Amino acid sequence: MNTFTLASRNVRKSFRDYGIYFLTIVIGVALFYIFNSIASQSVMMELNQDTRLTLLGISREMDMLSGFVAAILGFLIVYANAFLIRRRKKELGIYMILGMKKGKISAILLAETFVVGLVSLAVGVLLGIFLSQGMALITAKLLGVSVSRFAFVFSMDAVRKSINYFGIAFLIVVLFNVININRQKLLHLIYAEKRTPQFHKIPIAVSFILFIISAIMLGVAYHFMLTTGLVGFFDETKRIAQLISIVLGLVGTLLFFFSLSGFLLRLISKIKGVYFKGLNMFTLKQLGSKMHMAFLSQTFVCLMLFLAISAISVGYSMSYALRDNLKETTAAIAISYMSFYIGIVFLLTCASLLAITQLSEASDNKARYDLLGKLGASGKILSQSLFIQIFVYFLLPLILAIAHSFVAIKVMSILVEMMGNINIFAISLIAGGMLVLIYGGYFLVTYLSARKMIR
Amino acid sequence: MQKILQVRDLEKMYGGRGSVTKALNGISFDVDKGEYVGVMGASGSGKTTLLNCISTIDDATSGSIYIENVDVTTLRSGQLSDFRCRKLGFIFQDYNLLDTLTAFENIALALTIAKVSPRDVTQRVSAMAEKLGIADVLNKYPVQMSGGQRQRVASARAIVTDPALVLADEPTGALDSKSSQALLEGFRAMVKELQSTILMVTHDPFSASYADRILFIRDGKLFTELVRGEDSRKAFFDKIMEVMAVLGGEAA
Repeated sequence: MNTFTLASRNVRKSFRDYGIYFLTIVIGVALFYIFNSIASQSVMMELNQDTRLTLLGISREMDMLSGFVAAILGFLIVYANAFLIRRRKKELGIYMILGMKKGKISAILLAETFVVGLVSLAVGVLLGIFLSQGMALITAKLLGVSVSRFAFVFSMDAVRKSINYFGIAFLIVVLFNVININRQKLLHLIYAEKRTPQFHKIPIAVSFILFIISAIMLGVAYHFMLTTGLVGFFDETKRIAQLISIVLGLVGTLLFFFSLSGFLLRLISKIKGVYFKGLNMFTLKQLGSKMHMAFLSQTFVCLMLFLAISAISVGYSMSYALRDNLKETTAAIAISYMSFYIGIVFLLTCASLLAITQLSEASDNKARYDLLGKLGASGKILSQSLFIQIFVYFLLPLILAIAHSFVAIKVMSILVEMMGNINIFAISLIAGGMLVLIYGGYFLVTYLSARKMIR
Repeated sequence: MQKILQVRDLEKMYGGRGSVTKALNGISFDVDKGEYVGVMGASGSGKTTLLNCISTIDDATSGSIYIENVDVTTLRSGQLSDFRCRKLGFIFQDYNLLDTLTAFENIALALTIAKVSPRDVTQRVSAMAEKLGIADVLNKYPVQMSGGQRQRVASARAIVTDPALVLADEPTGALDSKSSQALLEGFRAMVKELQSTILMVTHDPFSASYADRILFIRDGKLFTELVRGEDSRKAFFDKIMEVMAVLGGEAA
């Protein structure tokens, strides 16, 4: 079997299991293309000198942001790859036992990355080109210019940029894989699946105290933020208060996720009426055995969600204020596009990170669900258990992110209200709607694919 | 004597169009309440398929399986899981304990799946652990236990729900001889003191010699049957060896 047949077969398999991740890459590329093609959207519009300059201004802002967005999506690609490779250790070990050279294995992985990269870039750019036609109409409406004729919007520059940025991300993936393969020992690859489960080593009382400390830290951080505000950022004492509250907020968030499972899950396990009902015991232990190791990723997801919610709500309200009250059209459009762009990319990134981890979790646990089925657990209660597990993983970071965002929006509202009479919380509902749509959609797809895996 | 299990003309075919394999070829037998029955046969003889059909994990092509007078081949999939957790107990070769749960929780799980009232769980698990001599490992996780202890925990999980029939698939397969012996004596005690009914698939004549009766299977059919009667275990073991010699070299 040659390298390419093997590689394409592997890609098809991982596509079946982790389709949602590949979809995220495609959407990421499409978004990247759309926001980089703003300058060329003018072909549809009737522009005078002023609006032309406006459009170029917006385009420049997007340009600056794109490096950052590419870095975020690049991180997602590299992280997800590392994660998926780690799961395939045994398969790679079997290749080696059959006498395949490390160089050849690297070649297979290279071919896989190539196929994935090529397909997702191609599909993503095509999708981007398609959607940018609609985006041009929106931009025209926001600029208040009429659409003169339907012209096909196409930006070679955006295509080139997408290929460059994402090409680099996939190149890093290839490098990572080659280094990773060369470092591996056959023994470790073959026995990679043998994992000893981890149990709580921290006493419940300590977890509880840590949880209280994290709650206090977050409370103090919120209080500082709300009382100091962002207005006097150039005032030395206020700035120190703001820095302290940011640090407290970060550490508090980390500690919150570190301690939460330790005491909450074990607290529930003390309530026998709940614990000894159906699969609750299994479900809680499943959550408990993973949660205290997942606190870093939970913190990461929480902060990303927080940034996404704040970016969208604050950005939108600022753009409203700028456009309606200050008649600053350029700045208004630029800010609303930027916040939308960043917000969506953050949402996509953290949702697909959760999706990948939960899906691989489900496939790791397939044997456990099979066993429960043999013991007489019906498909319905198995699905319920799976639902609860994935739901908790998606919900916990969201709850804290909403609390964080509430404070951030409250603080920012003072700033926005200085620009005009805008109800920022009403506009946050837009962020909420988007959140429900994207994050909720990812949750649902993750649950449905995981359910398919364990059946 | 009440019949717990009645297998009638059971057939199971695999594959289709051109390449049909008959894993079970019209096998019939009964098991009485409180009986400890061994099933022996070479690999490929159909003994695992038989066990899977009785345990309702696999469905038969034709024939019927009555467990406490219910024909399980006619049950719908929704009823099957309910039937499994109420009427059947399972003991597997590789224990199949959940490594995230303690011994106590592993045993309790069988009860909670069967919707036993949460108030009764602790008491029933403790009582069962006492009987099987595993009360001191109840708070340990499977990785912290020996193979013998794990299999006794698995046995406790299988019988804690008071099932009509316990199905054991090579239960001593992963145990050393000392632990095997302890487990098999435990099975005898389960049959004698708790009136459990056990159907055990094994290829090991030593394990089989603890049973009351052995069914030998070849090519998906009942080849012969051996009843222990008043024989000593040693004498029964010798008889089993004789049958295995007739069955063919690699009969086990």
